[in-house]
Amino acid sequence: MGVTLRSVGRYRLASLIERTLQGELYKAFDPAERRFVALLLLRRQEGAGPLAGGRGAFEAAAEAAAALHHPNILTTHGHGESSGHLYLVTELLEARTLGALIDEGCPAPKRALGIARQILAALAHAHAAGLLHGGLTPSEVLLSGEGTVKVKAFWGARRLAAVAEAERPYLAPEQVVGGAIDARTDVYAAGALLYRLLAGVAPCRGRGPALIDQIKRNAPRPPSVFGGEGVATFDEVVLQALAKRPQDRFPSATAFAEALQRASGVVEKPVAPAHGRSFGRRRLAVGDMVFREGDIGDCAYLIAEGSVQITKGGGAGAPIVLATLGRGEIVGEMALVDDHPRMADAVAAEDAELVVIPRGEFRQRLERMDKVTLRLIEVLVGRLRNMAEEVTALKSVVE
Amino acid sequence: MGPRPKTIGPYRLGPPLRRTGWGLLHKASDPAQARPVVVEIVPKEVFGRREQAAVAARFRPAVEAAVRLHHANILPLLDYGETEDAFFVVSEFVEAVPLADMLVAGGRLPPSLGLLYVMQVLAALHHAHAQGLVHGRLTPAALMVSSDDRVRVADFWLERLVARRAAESLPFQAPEQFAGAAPAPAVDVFAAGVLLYRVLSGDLPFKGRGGDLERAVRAGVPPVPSRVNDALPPQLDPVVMRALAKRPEERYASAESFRANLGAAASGLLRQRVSGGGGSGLQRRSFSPGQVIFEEGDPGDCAFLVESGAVQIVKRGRTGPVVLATLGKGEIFGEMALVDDQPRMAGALCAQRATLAVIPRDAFQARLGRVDKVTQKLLTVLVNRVRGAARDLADLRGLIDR
Repeated sequence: MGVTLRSVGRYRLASLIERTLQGELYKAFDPAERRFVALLLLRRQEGAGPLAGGRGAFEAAAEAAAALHHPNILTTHGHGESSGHLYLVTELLEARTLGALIDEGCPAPKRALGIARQILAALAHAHAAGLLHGGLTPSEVLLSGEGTVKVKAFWGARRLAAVAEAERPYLAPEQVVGGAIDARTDVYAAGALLYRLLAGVAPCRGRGPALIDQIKRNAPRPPSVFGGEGVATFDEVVLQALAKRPQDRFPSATAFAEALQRASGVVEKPVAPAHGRSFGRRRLAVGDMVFREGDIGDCAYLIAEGSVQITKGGGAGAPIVLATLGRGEIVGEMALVDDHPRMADAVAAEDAELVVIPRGEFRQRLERMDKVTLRLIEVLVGRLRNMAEEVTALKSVVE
Repeated sequence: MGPRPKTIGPYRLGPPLRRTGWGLLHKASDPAQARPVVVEIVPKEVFGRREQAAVAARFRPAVEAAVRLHHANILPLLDYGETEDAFFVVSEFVEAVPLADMLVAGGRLPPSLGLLYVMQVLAALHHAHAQGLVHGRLTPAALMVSSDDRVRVADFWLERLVARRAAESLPFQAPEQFAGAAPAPAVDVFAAGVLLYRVLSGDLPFKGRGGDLERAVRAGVPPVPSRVNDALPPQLDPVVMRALAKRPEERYASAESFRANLGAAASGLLRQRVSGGGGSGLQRRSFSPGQVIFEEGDPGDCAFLVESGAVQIVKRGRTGPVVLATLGKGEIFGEMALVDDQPRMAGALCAQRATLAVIPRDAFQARLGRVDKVTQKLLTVLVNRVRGAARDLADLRGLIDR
């Protein structure tokens, strides 16, 4: 494989996902929890990774981030140090970065707005918990295979040297002069990302000192100058987010999101349209259990409203949050495939409405497909069942 | 900094969708409406220098006539224009595939589905004929089918714009068109007859190239559809054959009368449709014993369904090949290629003369789209789960082996 596999702390490194300026990102196996995680092994240097405040700041930031649970924030599991390297452990996501999406060309304005809406929801949640991102760039935003946005590490103030050249155009003026940052710094970065999605170019361009100078002084041109169709509607809002002086921007991520919503004039569509015979629904108040580990499941849930946390070990100590899922995401889908007990607890993280999809009903809907497709799905589902069993068996062997 | 997006007229071009007989289809966005559209770009260079001026003069009236059509089964044209080196025609963006893509060589549709599609085509033709417009170039490539099985007929402007025909459209041309007659509604009735014959039987009524094809269309009598596909009820035969009459006056007098006759003959079949059909319009391939279907390590982008014969799945072992399984009729192999782009984990070898249906990854993904949104979402999640589980397994084996 070319990579020397080894362990970091209790984690077994399985494969290298990517090398970044900050360090190496691995897919790793956690024998204690019997699950795969993402492990970022930071480069050894006198500072601590991207953070200005050194090692103590890294540990404080990692602990604070681990307390954040939101459908649009990548869950942090823990951190540690191994042979002089600091590392951060997060949930493992089959995802690509916003940067990869941008490389393929601009998404439609509607999609761009959907992404911005999710980024701003993540920011609003973190800001309410007193955490700043401080380095929101295309590589810090992940898109899952199903289109959900997850924002990476909320680490607060960073060293400029730790931001890759290609990602500097998203820094706010106060950051490039080493000034203090606040929620409005993240508002600026979210505005810069949205600008990039709508216009196809970053608001400030160039390299080195010329770029820094642009960020400090030059007001960007309206995104519609580059973008075109449907973009002009958002010119004013995006430019306000990109104001040079923090006091001229939106005061919060929520205010930015609301202004976008007003500009688009679009009302959000319900997640599950009334389509033919509709599925049953379940309303939950915050804290209500969707299901418990060990329950026998015969249905999956689609989150129509609110969010749900997948947790483990709710007994004596505080439960570990494995993931937080939001609107449009699916919970408990393995019950459609097999009748094994639920693998974890699922609990409403806020008031929620779920669409209940019983296994039988799902099968009936599949019956409407042509025979070949149906047969293929059956073969793949059989495969999934076998692989899931084998994965469970092998996990108990790896220690 | 990426390159500036390409535009044509006021439209910003997205990725090209596919090639047409005359140019390229692009997904694009409409600046005024903030909605996706499809732009067909016909480069002027496809026409000869002398022809260009004549085509330019025909362009506007040809498209204007088609813009006036409004019908549930006609793809709406929104706009058109001309640049220095191309004509372009803008239509509504519909999530749909051309029927031509569903009818790969030798494939046929379930009869009930084929009937459903042709009935809609006839409704569209009836509407256009009432407005005095003849399509003239009806082929499976001009029929867009969306996931709810709705058909939208495209290209109502093509016949009046370009004189030359793509080779694929010739088998749908009526005898009088070979003789140079001006297009009349009877031409569309004939083409709809060829289409019906094709979707029901899996074969074209008139085949060949050049002069052979022309002779077949003008004089040949094809076998009735139920003789080509014995699953078809014979009561459909006379309905199809009448549309294929050599003399225009012997065909149905209108698309509407064709539709009424077809509906009456097929009422039983159309009712069966609810439960979904069997056949599938998939490409088939034959293999002889010993022939390699794919090798271990090959890149894969399709799965196979064994329709007849037998196939061995073989993996390289330390001492030689090991047969993992022998598969027969109705079994599927190579299915991981539908969700993953990893190389084949084992090879496949024909053990007994076999016919295999080939299921390409994109066709499978398109078929997954043919259910309601919630089921679709679940399937996406499950397919992602399969991909994730395969990677987890590989990683766990790696951890254990070392």
